[in-house]
Amino acid sequence: MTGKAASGNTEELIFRRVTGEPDRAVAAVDGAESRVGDVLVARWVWLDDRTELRQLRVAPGAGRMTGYERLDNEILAGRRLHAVAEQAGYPPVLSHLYGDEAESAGPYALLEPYLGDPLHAVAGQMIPGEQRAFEVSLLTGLCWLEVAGIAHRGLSPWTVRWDGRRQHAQITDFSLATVFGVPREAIGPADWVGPEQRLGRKPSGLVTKRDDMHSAGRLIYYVRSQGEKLQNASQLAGEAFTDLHPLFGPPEGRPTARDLLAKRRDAGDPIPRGIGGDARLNDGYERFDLLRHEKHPGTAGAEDRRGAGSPGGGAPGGMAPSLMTVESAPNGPAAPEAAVPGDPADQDKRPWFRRGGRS
Amino acid sequence: MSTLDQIIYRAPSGARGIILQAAASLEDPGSGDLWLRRLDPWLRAGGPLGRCYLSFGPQAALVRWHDNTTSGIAWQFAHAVVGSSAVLTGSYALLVRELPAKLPGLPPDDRPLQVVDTDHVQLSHPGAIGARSRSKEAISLLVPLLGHVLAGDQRVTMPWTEWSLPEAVVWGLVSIVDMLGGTRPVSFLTYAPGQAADVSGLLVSFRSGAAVLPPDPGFETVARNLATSYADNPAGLRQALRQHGVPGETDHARRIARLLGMWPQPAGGEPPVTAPTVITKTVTAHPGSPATVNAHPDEPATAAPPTSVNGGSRRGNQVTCPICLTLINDWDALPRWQWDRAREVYTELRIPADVTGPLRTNLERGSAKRCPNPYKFNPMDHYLPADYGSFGPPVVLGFVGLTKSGKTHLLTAMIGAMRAGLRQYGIDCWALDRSLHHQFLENRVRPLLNDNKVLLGTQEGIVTFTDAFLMQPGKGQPRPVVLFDVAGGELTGVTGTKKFLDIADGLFFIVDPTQIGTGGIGDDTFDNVLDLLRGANRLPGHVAAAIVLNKSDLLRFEDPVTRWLRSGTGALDAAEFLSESRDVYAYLQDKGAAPWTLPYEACAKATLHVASPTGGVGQGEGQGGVFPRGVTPRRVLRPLVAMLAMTGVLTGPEAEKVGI
Repeated sequence: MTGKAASGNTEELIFRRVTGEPDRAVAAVDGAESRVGDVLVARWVWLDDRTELRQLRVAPGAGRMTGYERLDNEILAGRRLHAVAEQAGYPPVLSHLYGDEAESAGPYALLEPYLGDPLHAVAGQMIPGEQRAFEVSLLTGLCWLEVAGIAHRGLSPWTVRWDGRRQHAQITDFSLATVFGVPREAIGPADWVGPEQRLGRKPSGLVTKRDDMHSAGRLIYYVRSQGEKLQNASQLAGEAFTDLHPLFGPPEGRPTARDLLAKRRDAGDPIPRGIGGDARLNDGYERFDLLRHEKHPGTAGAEDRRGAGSPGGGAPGGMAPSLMTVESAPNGPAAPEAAVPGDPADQDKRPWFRRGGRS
Repeated sequence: MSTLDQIIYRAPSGARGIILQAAASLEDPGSGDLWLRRLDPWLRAGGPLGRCYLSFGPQAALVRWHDNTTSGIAWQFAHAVVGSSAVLTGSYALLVRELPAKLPGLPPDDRPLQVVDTDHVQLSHPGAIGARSRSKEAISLLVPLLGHVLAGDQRVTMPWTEWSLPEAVVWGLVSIVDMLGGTRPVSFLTYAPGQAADVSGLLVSFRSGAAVLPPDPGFETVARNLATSYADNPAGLRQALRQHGVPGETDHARRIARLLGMWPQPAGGEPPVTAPTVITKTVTAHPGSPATVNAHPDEPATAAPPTSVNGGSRRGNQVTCPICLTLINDWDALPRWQWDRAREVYTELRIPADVTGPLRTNLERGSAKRCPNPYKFNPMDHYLPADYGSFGPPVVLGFVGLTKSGKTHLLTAMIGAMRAGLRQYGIDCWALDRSLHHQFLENRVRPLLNDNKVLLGTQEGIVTFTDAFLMQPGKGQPRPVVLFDVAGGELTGVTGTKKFLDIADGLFFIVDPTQIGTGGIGDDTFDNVLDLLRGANRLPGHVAAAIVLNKSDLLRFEDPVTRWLRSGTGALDAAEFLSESRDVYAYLQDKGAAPWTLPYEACAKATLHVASPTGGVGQGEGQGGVFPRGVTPRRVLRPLVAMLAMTGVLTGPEAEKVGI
């Protein structure tokens, strides 16, 4: 949507720019709000310098607490992606957080307008060249997520877009995102996420950079088959889909986005050298290990830890890896997919579930 | 014809996801919100292997869960029947059959569900469940359950061992309670993979792996006789109870007296105490607090702490008074005192020597012991819960940190989460002083967690502990654990009310993130307390430290804080505690907050944690201040669990590694 608010309402917005500076602006706001999922709402705002933004807020009502969490996810992902990507120029394959107000009773995120159209609206018309460009740009976006330590957990044709003019995908809506290394949850659109995220089985293991790859495989199939959803393994039988097979196995065996890109001659590593890797805490880790060793000589000291790479990169002396770097977590074999009850033929004679007015 | 409403709920996406009402027969849409609010914690607590019946006074609800996978744990839909408790009784709820394995689908229109005509509901035959309730395996569970119910316990957790057995046990209980003439509402959750919420009246829940706690011997005798008589001849039992006037009595105590008359104690007086987990009752009258916490005139007030491993008051124990540091050589020989509400003084409790069994238990309930205080260094008489010295050396824990560092909110959130949360770690806990605990719940926990209110800071001059518990890991030895919260201002000085530091086993050092980066001087309270401990030769080995990066919600977008805040409650895993400690230590060092990490260097056993007692920022301070987003504590129990491991309350190889 473009143009100024028809109603002419204005509000003062006091927020934190994604770069970290505080900001204050008088904004024209659109009175019309659209629902974003169950617990968030969005409206357009125009800052006094004519910057057009989408303001994401928590919907009032019973799901408010969940709404705060979802908004936090969007802000978390936006801040982290900006932090890792700003040096190289923010990649257009990811939606961009402009700023946020995270602490008040009425928090919000300000997002730059999304590019292109939702994939579900355009997948049927994408030609082979566009399909290839989609795959490369989608995987590029996932590489950036990996560098930022973020799992999207909600990739679908509704959250991934295709910008036909600029010929690239854009990953949007980080409201279900989280960081690598936290326990998995049943979350995300059941038709698109990996079985480890689906309802009907007890979530196990920790979120890793490979969790989103199942959804990526489904999206690539969806685009290559011009809008057909992947329903069962037999659809992957054709030669055109052989490369997707590893994406649908257990998470620990899935290739990463970087692995897939590396196999394409036309796509190198999209992440410039020197991006990613956070050494801020290394001195503290070393000092901790040293102190611990002094207090308890039987434990691993700093010397033992050197060479272990980033925290958690190895586990000498019984040292537990930090959560973030846990590469693959215990994960049982994929369980049968949960099905939603839906066969009216099974309707019982009891009144449970029977439809109709009050008797 | 009677009718009930029905509601179908859709499972949440993830532990913290929202539960949605998929369809309902309710005429008033507002009542759907009411029922969802009421049932939400219960929907999360139960699962497809069981059913939940909740008595909410004039209304009641029956919930069953549907699972179309084979796990038996997760659920996709839940079906609730709600309505008048006169129609939807506990017995009726037990007779309603299981949900079909394959549920019919919900048509894609918005028409409401049909109300349930109770005449057309297919019920199991009462004879079948009745027969199972009298089986050997059901009776073996019914005896301890009845014992606790007779003792007045309001929350009883029983082990879940096999499908449908809990329903049979509850059927037996409901039948016997009916024969006794009991009027206390009975709710039940026959399979509880999650934590049961709160409901008035009696709640019986069944949990896989739960231990059977034997009831008080006096009640056990009665319970055993009631259960076996019920198994042999229910009609005969009903008749016998009538003949003895049990159902005609108007209150619980009188009914118990009549039951004791029917089945007196075995000759030789009180049966020997053979296990460390025998339940007795305690309500400690406490100055300034109600002497009773009865929610219902028909029910005793309290949760049930274990009695002493040594048979309570029959063996001498040496303890140090945490208030004045007097060494008390024979705790058990001290006379008991009770709070006289009318006169607002303690009076000595004199019980004739020949009074034994439940009557003695009843009379001793809530009593206290007066510290001999021979040197009067503390000029005031002071009293401790009678059980304080009966379970071996108490573990004394305290909170150290500046005013406004969030000590009070952390302690409050910790205590609020303790009872249910510690069970996840296999730890049972009971308030050592029920009245003090009740007072804390009313004045602190409820305002914070239920009303989202900002709490006032700790008052200066308080010379007693904030709350105290008996904590029992698994079937291990219960230990008293007392928690001190001293005003920050008093910790910056060298005198005052912090005598407990000289016997403290563990200290929580509370880091306020808003103070980090303000010059790197650190926290005077940390320095003062460490100096004091050093001067008393208590470092490094006599005091454990848990450094808590408090108010971590303010740092929730920063790594590694965000990962730990999102990492759930965890398990007793020394490696995980170490990993978190290492991360938090490095984070504080990176932020120029090295002085706040000094306790890690000073104490042999130490951990570091992130914790968020409120989940967000308060608006306004003290009276009238609120947390506008609601209060959602995160990881508040982790420091306590680490501390329990480091101070020896938790034992075993994994616990011994925590803090090293």
